Amino acid sequence: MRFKINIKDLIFGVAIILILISIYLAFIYTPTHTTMGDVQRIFYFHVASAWLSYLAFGVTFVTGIFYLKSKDFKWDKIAFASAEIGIVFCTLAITTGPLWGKAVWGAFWRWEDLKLFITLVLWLIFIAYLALRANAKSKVSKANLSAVFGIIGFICVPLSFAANRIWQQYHPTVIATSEGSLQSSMGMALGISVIAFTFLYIYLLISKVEIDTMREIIEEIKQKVGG
Amino acid sequence: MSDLIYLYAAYTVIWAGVFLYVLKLHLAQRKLKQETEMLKEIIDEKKNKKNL
Repeated sequence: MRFKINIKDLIFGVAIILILISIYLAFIYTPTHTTMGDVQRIFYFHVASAWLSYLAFGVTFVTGIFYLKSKDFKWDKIAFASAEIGIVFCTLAITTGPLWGKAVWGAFWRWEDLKLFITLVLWLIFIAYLALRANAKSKVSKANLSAVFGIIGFICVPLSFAANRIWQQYHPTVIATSEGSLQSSMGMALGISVIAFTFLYIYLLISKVEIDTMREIIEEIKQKVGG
Repeated sequence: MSDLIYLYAAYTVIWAGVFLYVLKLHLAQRKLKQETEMLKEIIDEKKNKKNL
């Protein structure tokens, strides 16, 4: 008996296993934070969601450039798929962050914090990206406009990443600071959850691109059969 | 109110969001497979009619 292993399913399997390991690490292996308590455990998947959205918007940025250079629609398809996934995970990051904020700061949102504000702008830009695609008249104008929009929108990603490191307002900086660095067990839990979400991203991207390709082929066949 | 409610809420949001998005993609893929099967049948029927 032969088993046919699909690479996409294998990636999904790895993502699920890593997610289960990271849940174990986040809830059982890591100690309770001395000042924040258990609510600090939100951060393992909040950071992983934010990372995934940065990665996804980064892929949209790169594939947008590739599209504008080559005018090959395959790059547009990947850019769009990645933008959609980025929006989903950016939504999760900006929803879970305020839940942590309410417990630690006593407020869901702090408008004066530039990290929060820039991330919200990033999310809104990519929501507009989707609206723009939905309303574009032709395939070419849709691809051109969204490539330009995706490239411009990406500017917010490094700004969002760097905001708390530059201005040091309310949002904590947990990586790359000597005084705020994590305990090794916490760092490991965070690392595994980030890797797990990266595998999840690859699986979602392949699935979304497959779906959009299939949809296009079906539309073409329908037109031929109908005509 | 305990802060744990925020921890539960955050994890519910994350896993519900991930689950719903994976489900959305899975259902879209299943629907497209069904459409492909339907189109195959239509094309086969047309071919058979031509052959007759």
